[in-house]
Amino acid sequence: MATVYKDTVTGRFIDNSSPKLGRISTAASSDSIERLVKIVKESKAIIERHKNDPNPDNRS
Amino acid sequence: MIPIQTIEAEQLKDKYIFLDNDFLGIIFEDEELLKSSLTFIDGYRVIDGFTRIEFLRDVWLPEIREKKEQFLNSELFFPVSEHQELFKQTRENAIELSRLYAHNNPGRKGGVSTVDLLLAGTLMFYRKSILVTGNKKDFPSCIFDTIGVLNFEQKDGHMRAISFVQFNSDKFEACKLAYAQVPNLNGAH
Repeated sequence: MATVYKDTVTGRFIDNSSPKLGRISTAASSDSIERLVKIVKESKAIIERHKNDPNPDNRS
Repeated sequence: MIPIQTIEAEQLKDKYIFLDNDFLGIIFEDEELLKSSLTFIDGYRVIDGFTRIEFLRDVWLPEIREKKEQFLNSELFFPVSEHQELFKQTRENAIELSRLYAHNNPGRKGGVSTVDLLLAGTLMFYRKSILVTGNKKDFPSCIFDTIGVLNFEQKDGHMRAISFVQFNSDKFEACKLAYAQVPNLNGAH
């Protein structure tokens, strides 16, 4: 049986049985994925740049 | 040993799909896996508040922390409701699960981390939810079902498995019953 709580902050109802998706699309668009890929690549570049940092604390 | 079925993308549709820190860490470092796994996981991808803390903690470089925050704020990840009643329930679930874990695996040193216990308590609350984790051992088979596994080859050539885990209420009730029958030192049940 589903349990439903009312969120006193947002007024929304929380249902534990399944998400109420309405018109929200859960499919990952290629644009959204590309934005994440860009973040991952930038993060790798930052780590690479810091690998040669003279301060060992800054290398990770 | 139970052979694991291949999971179909259709099984994940219209479900809460919780992503754990281990899995997030893997896709944060591997853009190919990120692309393929997030396309495959077409459900309500959720990151729990405690998982968020785990993912962001212990980051030395402010630039990396910023990137990690941008990553978590992607529209591909949906917010999870944070409600006082829900937390109370999750906490009680976590305590109950920890007792059952200990009963089913008394030899295990260290136990399951608090964050994973709370995540397990959350999975118990959202009964139709699925957890995507690289750390299956913290969601024991005495209570959770592994409904599928995603295998991938790491850059160093090693194979790695990502499990899709689901709370099983029948197993939970059976464990609870077994626990209730453990005699205590006073002789009472």
